[in-house]
Amino acid sequence: MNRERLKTLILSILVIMSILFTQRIWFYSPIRILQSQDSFREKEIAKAIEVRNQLIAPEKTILSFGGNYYTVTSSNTDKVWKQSKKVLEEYFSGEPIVKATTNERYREARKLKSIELKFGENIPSILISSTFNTLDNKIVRDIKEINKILIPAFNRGIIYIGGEEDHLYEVKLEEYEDNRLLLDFIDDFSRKSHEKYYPLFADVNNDIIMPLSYNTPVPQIVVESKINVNDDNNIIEHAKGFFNENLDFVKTIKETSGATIFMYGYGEKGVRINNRGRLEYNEEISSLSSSNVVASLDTAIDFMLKKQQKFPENLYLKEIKNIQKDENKGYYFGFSYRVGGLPVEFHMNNMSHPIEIEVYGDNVSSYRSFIREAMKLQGVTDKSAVLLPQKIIEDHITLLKEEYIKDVEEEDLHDKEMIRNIEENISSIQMIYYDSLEENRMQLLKPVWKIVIGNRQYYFNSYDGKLLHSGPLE
Amino acid sequence: MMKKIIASAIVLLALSGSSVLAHGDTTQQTTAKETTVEQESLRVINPRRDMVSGDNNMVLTFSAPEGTTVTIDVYYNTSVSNDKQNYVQAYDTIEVEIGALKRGWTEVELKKGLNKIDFTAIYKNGSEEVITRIIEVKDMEEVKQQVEKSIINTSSTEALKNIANTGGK
Repeated sequence: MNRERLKTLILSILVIMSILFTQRIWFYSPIRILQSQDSFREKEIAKAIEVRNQLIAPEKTILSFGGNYYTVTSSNTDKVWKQSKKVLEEYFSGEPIVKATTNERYREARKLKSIELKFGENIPSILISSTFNTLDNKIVRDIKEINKILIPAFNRGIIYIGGEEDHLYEVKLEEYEDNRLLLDFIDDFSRKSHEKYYPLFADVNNDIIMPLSYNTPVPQIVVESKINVNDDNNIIEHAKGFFNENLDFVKTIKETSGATIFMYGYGEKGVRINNRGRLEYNEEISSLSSSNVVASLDTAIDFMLKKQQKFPENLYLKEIKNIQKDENKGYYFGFSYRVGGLPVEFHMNNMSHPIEIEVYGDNVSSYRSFIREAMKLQGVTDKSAVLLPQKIIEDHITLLKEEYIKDVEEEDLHDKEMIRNIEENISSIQMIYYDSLEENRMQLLKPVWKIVIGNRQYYFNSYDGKLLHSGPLE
Repeated sequence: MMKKIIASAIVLLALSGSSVLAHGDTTQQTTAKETTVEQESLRVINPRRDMVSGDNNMVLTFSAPEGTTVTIDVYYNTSVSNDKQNYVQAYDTIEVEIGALKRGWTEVELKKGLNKIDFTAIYKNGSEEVITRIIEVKDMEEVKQQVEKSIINTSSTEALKNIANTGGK
């Protein structure tokens, strides 16, 4: 009898245990696994959004202190953008009135204390809006592209937006709260050291601002290509990422030019790294189209995060284009980056920005990158005095006049008239680093004044005023 | 009778309106003439005339023929009396060589009160020409108060006149 009881007891314990364990396996564990998967995905999405918000930022910002006195920031843009976003959020999340406005109104507002944000080329308003976590609002519906935003410091519930084809809009909130956010920010900024800019050609109706003295030393920077082409292992390391870290089914070809080609299958996918360290990736994609620019940008970011070993610092979105291959529609994204606070530019036949990526649907069909990194060298940071842009223009006036005559195709123009026209047509002046692409390693980047006059752009060495490159505006 | 009065009023209005327009036209013509004539000699673009400013710093813009040397002397008024000024040179003479753009710029520091700026052009042929501007620097608050006071106390046209007068002093 006793023995039977013991058996029953053991059996019931076993039954209870089996129920408990089954429950652990079937109810608790899978949920936890699913949860961890979810949070991984969430983290990935959060990371992509964070990167997107970093990439969508103004290229340069202009602070107006009032009284015809301004400053241009290119290295401090983050701070200005962050502050401006606090004000802009209301406009993107609210229901403002959007109406067309005139250039005069815009210019008047710019003369008073204000912040002007200048974005890259053809940036759709929906992308800028996405940084405020809203994709559908009045601004996105009424304005297609945003090139620049002007925020008056005296908050009257009005901002100005420069859109596609130089259209200007006034965006007005019906209800707004008075605040001194920007006013205090601008006043604080004016007390810190900065370069003063003035509208030196205001009398010929040109608002272009230029410095009358430039005291901030701008050093030359020594850079090297991110991919070291002399090291085969380094080349393979960079190519691997594009083939799921596995080169077993990938053909490798060395060209006589020094370029290395990695090809998968019958050429469905290929990577070419040239003798300068420029990487080009191409993939054949089935017919896919995309109409959502935000999703396409996310695809591009996701691709870059996965394939690039390290994301270059200070990267920003510079240009967007609609592209078409056969029947498929997609987007081209051009990215640029800053070194030592200044944008880096170069001239290459088949590339206009340091990173170019083409997206169709949720696939990347082409990716090109040519990234330079600053080398840590001591004792080579040469600093010389910076020449003023107006002095450079004056020194090169003969060349500017010659090119002007070519452009207008008129020969018997009066000298005075020609100079006046040149002065009227100066549309942009910016300090940048120019990469002359002579060396893979130990390339010296010189600070350069990039001056745009009419349809032409000029790159002048800011130390000695020599012309390094000129050409038609891209 | 009423009709006549209204009609004559309209005619008078139309006449006065057209005279304003005509007046505007003549000034435009003269400025156009000025630019063509003055292009060959020293011309001060900013400040265009004697003026009141709320800022201690001022950018001077001027034009002159290529090869001209323009010197700029800034004087501060040290006299405390309102009727008589005693101008003392503030700092070393600023020298600007005029190049191919036929333009010159310089930033000067002014002091509260009256300031005198002398622009001297020394042309290639050795001849000289001097243009003088008197700039009164006032605190922003002072300028604001003045404007506000005149707005409260007087009619808008007089307020405008007041501002214009101080500008032309």
